[in-house]
Amino acid sequence: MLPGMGADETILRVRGLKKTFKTGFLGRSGFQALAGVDLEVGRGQVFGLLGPNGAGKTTMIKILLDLVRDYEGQAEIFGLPPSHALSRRKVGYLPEAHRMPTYLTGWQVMMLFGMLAGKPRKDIEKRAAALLDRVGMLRDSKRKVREYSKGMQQRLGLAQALVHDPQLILLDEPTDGVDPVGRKVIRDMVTEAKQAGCTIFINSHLLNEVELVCDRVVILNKGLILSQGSIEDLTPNADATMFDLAREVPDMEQLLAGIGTGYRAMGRGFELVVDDAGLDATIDRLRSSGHTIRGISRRRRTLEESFINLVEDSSGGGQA
Amino acid sequence: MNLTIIRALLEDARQQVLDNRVFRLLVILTMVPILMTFVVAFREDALVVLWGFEPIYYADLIQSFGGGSIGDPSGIREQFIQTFQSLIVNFFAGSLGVIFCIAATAFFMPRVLEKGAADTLFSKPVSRFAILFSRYIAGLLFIAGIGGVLVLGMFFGFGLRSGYWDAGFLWGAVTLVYLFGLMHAFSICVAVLTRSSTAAILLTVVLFFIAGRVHWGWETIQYIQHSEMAVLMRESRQGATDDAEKLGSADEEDEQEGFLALMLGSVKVLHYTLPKTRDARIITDKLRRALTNDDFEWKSADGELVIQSAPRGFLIDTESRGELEADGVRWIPMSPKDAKEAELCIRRYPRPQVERGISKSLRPQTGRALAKELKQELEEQPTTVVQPTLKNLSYGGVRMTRVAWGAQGDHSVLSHQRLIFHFDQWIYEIDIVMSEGDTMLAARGAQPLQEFLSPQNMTLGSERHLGQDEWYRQQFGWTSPWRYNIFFSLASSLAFASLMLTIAWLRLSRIDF
Repeated sequence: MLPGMGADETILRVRGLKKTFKTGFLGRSGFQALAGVDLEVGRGQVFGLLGPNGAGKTTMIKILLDLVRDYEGQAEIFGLPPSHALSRRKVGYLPEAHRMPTYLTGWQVMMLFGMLAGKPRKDIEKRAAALLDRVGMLRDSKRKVREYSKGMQQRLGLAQALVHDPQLILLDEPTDGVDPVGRKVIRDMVTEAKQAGCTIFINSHLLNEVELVCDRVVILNKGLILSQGSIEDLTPNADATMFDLAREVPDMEQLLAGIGTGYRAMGRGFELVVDDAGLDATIDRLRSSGHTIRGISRRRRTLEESFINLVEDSSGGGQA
Repeated sequence: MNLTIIRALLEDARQQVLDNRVFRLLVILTMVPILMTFVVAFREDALVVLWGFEPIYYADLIQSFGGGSIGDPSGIREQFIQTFQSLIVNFFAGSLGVIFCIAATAFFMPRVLEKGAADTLFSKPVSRFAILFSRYIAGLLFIAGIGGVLVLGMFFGFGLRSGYWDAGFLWGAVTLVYLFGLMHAFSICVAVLTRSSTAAILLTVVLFFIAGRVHWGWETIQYIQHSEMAVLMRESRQGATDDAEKLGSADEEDEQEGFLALMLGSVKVLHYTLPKTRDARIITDKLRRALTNDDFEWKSADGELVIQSAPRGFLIDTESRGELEADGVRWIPMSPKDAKEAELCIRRYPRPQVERGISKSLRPQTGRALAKELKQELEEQPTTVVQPTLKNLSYGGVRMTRVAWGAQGDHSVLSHQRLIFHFDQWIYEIDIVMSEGDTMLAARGAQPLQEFLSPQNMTLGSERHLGQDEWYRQQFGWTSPWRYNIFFSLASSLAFASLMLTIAWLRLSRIDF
């Protein structure tokens, strides 16, 4: 058992994390990737890490994995600093645009990375077969990695990240290059890992994917956390009200002329921004013209909308 | 780091080597000399190709290359085999092979450091040094695989086909690994600093050549400054130099001397700093001699006469050791029952000056003339029971005259042979005494004596007449002064390799992936 690992304790903690990469001739100038990040992640959560390019997401993950050094502030995994090799023993990592050793077969990759995590060969063999089967790669596991397509490499990458039965899984763009069926498999595997008590960190630009699997989301921009919370917290109700009708009405916009704003047709229904009086007026007009209302609901913001709003606000509305 | 992680790293290194196309190509190429050792048999007098299909006599072979006739064929087979071994292991594998291997393994480290690959590997609970070292080991496995196949294959080829089992040859594989290990450490260092395979290949090959040239230059300086040959040459030139100084070009010479001193100093500093790659071949030979117990048996104080091994069945009489000019150096039989009267003794004395020719000028006496004088003396002695005979012989290009006679000993008639020859300012005498009817030497035939007198076993004029390579080879030893010492060469070269790996590790530990 790793130090400090109880049932409810924090798996990952960063405090005032700052990192500046030296650039230019002799490192005279610099680029600040992280400007003071505080974060705490407990056991059994699926965490989404969002942010525009260059926000500092990957840098934060790499600091936690000791891939990036010379940072300011504190970082801990399982109560140990990243520089301690033992802290990475229970961590599975799938990097973005990873490259598995091309001279190995898929099976050998699983053996190598499993054993590098300190797991006995016999344990790895059992788990590797199951995982490769799960990601649909068992049949191709005797082929060299250099013969794999990008999607196959991504599946193998995910399998290797899980092969040593980690308690913290860091996935950087896990569905990159994977077909829809493969994405479903990855989503299912993430859910299963969560149910098994793992903490999962997902860094992805596919916000709908994040929305589907994550419990909590952190949004980073310019090295700072803009917002963090549950999906519900980050996707509040929007101003618009959605009306679902029994049948499609072609001239609906004319029918509702003068009521509310922002009309948008949506299948058999529509969306309209109205206040309470406007809501009553809309219902009255629909009913008086003989239309059947099947449902009325307040629409929630999508994660994408919230993300864009937050990023634009923090950037002064200029950039996404 | 536990055993599982070490096993994983080693297995990864093995897979990387086995998957390498250049490795497989080199393994196939090594089959060529191995096959030759199975197809060609090295017999005592000839090479036999394809099980007797085509015998090629050594004498014909040497003459076809412009060599002279072979006076004494003993040891010629060993010479041929060892030349072939040296050509393959020292030249092809030790230089061309090493360069190939540098090129083939230079990408090991840069590939690990590539974006995507590094993230996955370095995120595992393994220290960066362990990963660096595993890549170093991968390179050593690479050369060990090729070198092992080559040397073992040739060893068994020579053994099975030619009956030549030379365990010392196996050191060749170890030396290849050592030599490559020095270069590979530098290659790893460049690879970490630049993350470029091309830079690693180019700079390592350049270092390989520079280290060789610097060491050769240093050897030359040592040879000029310390060898007897060079001392003599310097002394003979001294007069001319004195004359030149008198002509008044002192300022110009001072400038030249300053530049020369700078050059010499630079070569010395570089020599002591860089890995001593040229020593690897000599170390192999020395190890080979050590393994086969083939270090020299005896050497005169002035280094003029070196005996590699005792006559078969004899051992050196420790009481006579080192007294070449007095009682001589004596070898006595190993078996006590043979020790009664048999012995082999070498002695020498300065060549006497005698009046020769019509002018009656004083000239050094020849060995043959002394042999004739001895014959006459023996004919008049009453103890001579078998009349002396005279025969001219040639061993390793040295013309000798053998006087053989029988004399009454304390217990039986003793058979005497004295080989007399002159070399430089010395007259050498080799006495072989045995009881009449003693089977010790006679039953074994002349082979042991031939072996003893062969140029492979007995070397004359070894200090004074040596070229630079041979001179350095003689200076370089396990107990030599530190600058010619094998342990110093090994330690300083390994220190260089360690320094390179340390620099690589320090840089690697600061890289942000």
